[in-house]
Amino acid sequence: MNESQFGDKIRHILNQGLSLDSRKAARLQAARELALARKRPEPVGVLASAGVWAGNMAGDFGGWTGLSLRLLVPVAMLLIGFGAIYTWQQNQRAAEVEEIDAQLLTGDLPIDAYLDRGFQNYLKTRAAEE
Amino acid sequence: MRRALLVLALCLAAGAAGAQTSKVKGGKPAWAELTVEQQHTLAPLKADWESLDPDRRRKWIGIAKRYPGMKPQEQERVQRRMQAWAKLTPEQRRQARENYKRIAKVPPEERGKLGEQWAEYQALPPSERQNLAPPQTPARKKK
Repeated sequence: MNESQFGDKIRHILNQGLSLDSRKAARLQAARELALARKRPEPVGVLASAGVWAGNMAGDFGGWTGLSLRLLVPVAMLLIGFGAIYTWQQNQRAAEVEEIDAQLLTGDLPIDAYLDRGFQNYLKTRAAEE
Repeated sequence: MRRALLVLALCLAAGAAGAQTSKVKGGKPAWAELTVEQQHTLAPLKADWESLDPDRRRKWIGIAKRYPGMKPQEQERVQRRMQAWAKLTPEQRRQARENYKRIAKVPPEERGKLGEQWAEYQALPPSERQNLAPPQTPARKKK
């Protein structure tokens, strides 16, 4: 029997359909219910204590675990995002301050020049004159 | 779904713990924790080191790392100015940085004249210099 013939045979069997008496159908139905009932409880993982904690959390959420997840996940992602942006901005600011301070400490002008309002105004006047 | 929630919670907890750890580790290097080179470079700050907040300590360590790449004249200036700069108030440092940023915007050929202009300004009679910096009114100071 080649592959094509085998396929035809399977198709033929499938086309005939499955005729089950009501007793077999009932048994299959019961087996399916049992399997589903056994699947529902959360399997206890390696992190036993964490599993207990998660179980408590889920218990607290009651019937709306799905809803809370739909809400909590985006909120958590948002918080993580904000946290990352804040950290990045702080680092950028720190790098900028370090760069400016390094230039102030090494530059031609003494620090007093940058603190002297008179000199700042003097520079502005000179710039306006030119 | 519960597992997803658990994983998420663990990730958040781990992230927070990690941030905390890095803050503790990087945030407060004591003077004794600095390398010998850093201690040598930052020697003028030794007496004040304990009073510096972690952010400023990190900044000074950053400057100490740049130090070997500086020209001898720049190194000498850093050594000379370091203590005075650290003793300024936060407001004075902020003001100096702002003025620096403004001055740094002038074209390079103009920037070269700044030393000359500072000397000219200092040579002005005191009354003329005072005219250029009238005393600030208390109301403006409060701002």
